[in-house]
Amino acid sequence: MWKIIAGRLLSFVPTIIIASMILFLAVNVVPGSAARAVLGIQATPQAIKRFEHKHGLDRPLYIQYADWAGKAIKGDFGTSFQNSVAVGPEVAKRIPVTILLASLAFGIAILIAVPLGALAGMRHQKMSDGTITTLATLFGSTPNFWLATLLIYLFALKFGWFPTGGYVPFQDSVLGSLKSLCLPAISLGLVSSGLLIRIMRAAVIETMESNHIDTAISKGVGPRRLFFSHVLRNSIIPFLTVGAVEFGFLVGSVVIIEDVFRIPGIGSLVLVGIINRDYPVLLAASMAITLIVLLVNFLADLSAQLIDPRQVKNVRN
Amino acid sequence: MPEDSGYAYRSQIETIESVVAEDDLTVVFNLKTVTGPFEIYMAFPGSSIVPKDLVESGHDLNAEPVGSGPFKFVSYTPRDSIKFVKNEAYYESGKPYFDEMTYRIVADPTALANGMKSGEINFSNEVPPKDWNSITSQSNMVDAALEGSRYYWMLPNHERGVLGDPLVRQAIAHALNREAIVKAAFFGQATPFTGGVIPEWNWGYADLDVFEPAGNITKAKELMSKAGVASGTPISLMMVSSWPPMMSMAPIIQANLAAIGFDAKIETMEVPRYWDEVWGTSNFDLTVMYWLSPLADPDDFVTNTYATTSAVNVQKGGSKEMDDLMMAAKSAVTKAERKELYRQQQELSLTDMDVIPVVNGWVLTAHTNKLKNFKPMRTGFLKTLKDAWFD
Repeated sequence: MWKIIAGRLLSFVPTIIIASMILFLAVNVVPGSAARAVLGIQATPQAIKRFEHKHGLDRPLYIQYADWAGKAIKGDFGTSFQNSVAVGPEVAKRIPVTILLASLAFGIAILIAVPLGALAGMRHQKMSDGTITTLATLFGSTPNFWLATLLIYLFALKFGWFPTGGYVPFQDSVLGSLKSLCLPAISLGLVSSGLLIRIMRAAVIETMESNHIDTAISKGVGPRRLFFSHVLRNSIIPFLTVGAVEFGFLVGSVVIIEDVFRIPGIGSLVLVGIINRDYPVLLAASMAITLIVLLVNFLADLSAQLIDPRQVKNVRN
Repeated sequence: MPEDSGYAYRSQIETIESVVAEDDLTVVFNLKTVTGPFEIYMAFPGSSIVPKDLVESGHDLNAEPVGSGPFKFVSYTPRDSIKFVKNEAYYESGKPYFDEMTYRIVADPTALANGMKSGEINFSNEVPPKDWNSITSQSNMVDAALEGSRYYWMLPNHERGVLGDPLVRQAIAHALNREAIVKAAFFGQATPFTGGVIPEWNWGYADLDVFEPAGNITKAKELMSKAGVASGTPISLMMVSSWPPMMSMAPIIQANLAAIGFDAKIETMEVPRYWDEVWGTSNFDLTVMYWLSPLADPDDFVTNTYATTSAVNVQKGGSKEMDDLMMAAKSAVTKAERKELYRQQQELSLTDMDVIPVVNGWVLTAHTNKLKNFKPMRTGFLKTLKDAWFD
């Protein structure tokens, strides 16, 4: 087990390096200069030149990358082009907010997907299966920002049950924090559940067709025990594996939702970086998301290994 | 200041010959020439007096601004908020009345409107025009809108084919249905320009009724015919995709251009690329831009727009005659003299048609009725919050 953990952690290194190179290249080849984005329409050619020189943007790209990477390894992600604020601490401050939002959303997705997916799988080719599959398609194809607007209109403006936006830090008020994240989490979680329902359903169908289920039934195992001890346990591995990937997509999709709900997370920082061509901000925030996704995938694999190492081997094979 | 300083507002301080601090509370500026708007220039935020030793020590004023105003800067969270606390040493005793203030940055117009409707946001001077009525119709909100200094103008690139001909530029100017633009893009919260760019509320305004608010296609066609422009001449209108008023006015402008014989196509791009393509390299035929004049002096409405050497002269227009007129207007001794010269400048602008004035936007300010004694400024600045209080 420790060998697996060590091996996986080591594999992070080349992944992070490659991801950082791709991000760095992407950020720099997209049209639109950082200098003009910061200095505005009145920027003179001299001011632009001065800005680019100050921030090293007039150097070859590989030198810029080496400089940035060398500092990033030591935790120095530079300062924002817009306001000279150190980027590292700002990103660190926002990571817990996004993780909390994404976790809540994922929790909602699982709460919806596991029972509905399992029910659809157990009632394969019956009417409930068809209904749930249709619901899953509907959920999965709904744009989360559209859903967010609808939820705000209904539950914030019409009924006044939730705020229209803003974030209450967890340490200030647990209830306030959860309340402020409820609608954004539902916007994200409901959409994510679309895919997860289908994964759960497929996993249950496959498990139900396996020999050991027939054996269990013939031995007189009751439906409740059959489901929880045999079907669910065997179906959860593929669900976890895809779920980890889906969590990654979820973290990436917080960008618009954080902006709509005025939540100061990593996603809104990515937006700042893109709109303002604030390269240090964009790079640091994007790398943070990359790391979160890698970590979640690692934890999902670890959990799967703990639940049933044989299943993991089967899935890998 | 050196010529290569890169300071965009260098022209405002070039007139300064010397500066002397006579005592702790008196600064004397000796100018090279009469400069009518000089006091206004010094009121510009970029002209703020800051401690020399602080700047020389390397302190970053962008990250941690300092000042002697009513509020002190506390912190800035990107795309979230700026926090202030009361400046206890503010020179107006007893003010400001607030102990602290949080300026929330709400980039999404819908999120802003939702926040105002629910009461979570109790003040905004950037209320989206489309939500203006629904927000201000609430019994606890106060409508504090007034015509501002946010004027929109169309830039025709003088180096692109027929747009180099002033008759064609005049034709486009007459073809524009500014009334429709006010309704569609601003939901009625803007004033169409019928003459020069200096708005009616400003003392430099010249009552030059040249454009019909709904446009005059007949006159525009006559000008096109005089200029000898063939029907179906292609032209592109470059707009910023993330600015709602621009995107709303684009189809109207396209239709107006089509009515006078252009085959007009709308092209869009996001902001940073727009800065580069249009502002950096003048790679455009027509575009629409807006300028928020922070100074409320007639000079600020015209110099940036029309000066040959202006950093925003991306349309490659301008003339010595115009430059000389604006310099004369800036340097005239009395307000009456300056007013007459700005009249002449605006008359010339409507002949040359370097740029095409479109509409002047309003500052849409709405706030809770618990906020008392707030007087909005046409520039949109919030300096007058120092005089306001909560009931």
